[in-house]
Amino acid sequence: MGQLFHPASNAFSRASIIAGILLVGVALWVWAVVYRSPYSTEVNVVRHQPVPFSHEHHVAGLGLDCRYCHLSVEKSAFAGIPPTQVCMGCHSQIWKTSPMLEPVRASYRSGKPLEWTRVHDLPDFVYFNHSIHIAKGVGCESCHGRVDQMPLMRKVKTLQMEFCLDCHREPQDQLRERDEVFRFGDQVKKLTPDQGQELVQAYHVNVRQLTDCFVCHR
Amino acid sequence: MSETKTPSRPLDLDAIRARLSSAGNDEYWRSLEQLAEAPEFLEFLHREFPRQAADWDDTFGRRHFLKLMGASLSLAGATGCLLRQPEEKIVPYVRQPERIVPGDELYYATATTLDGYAQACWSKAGWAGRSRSRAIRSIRPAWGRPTLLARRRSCHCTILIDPRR
Repeated sequence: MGQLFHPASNAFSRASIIAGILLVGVALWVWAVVYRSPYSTEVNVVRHQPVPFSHEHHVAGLGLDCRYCHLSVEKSAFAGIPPTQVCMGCHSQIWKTSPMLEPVRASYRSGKPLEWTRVHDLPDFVYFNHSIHIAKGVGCESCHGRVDQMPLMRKVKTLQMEFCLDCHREPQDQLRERDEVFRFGDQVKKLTPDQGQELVQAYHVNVRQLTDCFVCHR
Repeated sequence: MSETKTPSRPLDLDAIRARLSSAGNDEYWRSLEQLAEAPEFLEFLHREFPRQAADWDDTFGRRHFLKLMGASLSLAGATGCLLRQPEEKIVPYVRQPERIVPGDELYYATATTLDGYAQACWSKAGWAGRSRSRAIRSIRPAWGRPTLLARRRSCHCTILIDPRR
């Protein structure tokens, strides 16, 4: 019986093995790139909102504190979106005929709430608590970026698991004095790594426990 | 159900005896009907469904239907592989009631009836995960007979929830 395969098929079989491995590698690489791309993470994507609210104007321009509108950020898991009443606290006096603010006034008149589109939306299998991060000295800026420079709200961090874990492994880089949590940019003291480590100690951040699964998936 | 049941004939016992006594017969059998190879048994063996089962009288075959349903189910699961999260809305209050902290539970004292008697208890109103609507999540007694109330508290919670909220 003659040979089943021509000697040239040796080269072909070697080539197909290498090509197969390469194909799997390329597929994994494409998946990783797309998964981290703004298409998937929606980083820097501006979402449609009922009112084009400018954080830049209210935070940097007027100097409003985050907690004026995000009432429950220190007390609860959810930072809180201001009730229409909070908007109307000022806007019944200023800009009260602005057409841009008509949805707010309409909501206050009719009792029908404004429907904002979530910009920072964690998956439902992730537990996140704002209050504990505030209490341990993590600034808003660490996850939300320079909100004081955003005319329209957008995400700047992916908020994917690797982003959370970066900080949960080495929180000393992101901690700041508690009274600087709600400040941005130059208003925050630059800390040396040693000072960051001191804050970890002072705020009793249990770094060893921070990467346990149940901390975020409960 | 369309066919009438065939009357069972008496078994051919002689043939059974002959088969059993034949040398080297190591076949297993589960009933005398099988052993006698009665026509009822053979019919039962070759029919896919028992005689009483309702017939699938649709031209669209049962297997074809299951095939399509299986495919659509697995494709529905594939939507979980989408790279983007679905858009979600945040709907705040217009006028936020007092004592409400969004995202936090609210406890208040109330009473619930147990065996016809009012029992003082604490009620916890929580935020139901995704929709963030408020619902009574748990009730625990202020005093007395905790286990009995605990046993019944889940049905109490159901009573207190307004399904049209």
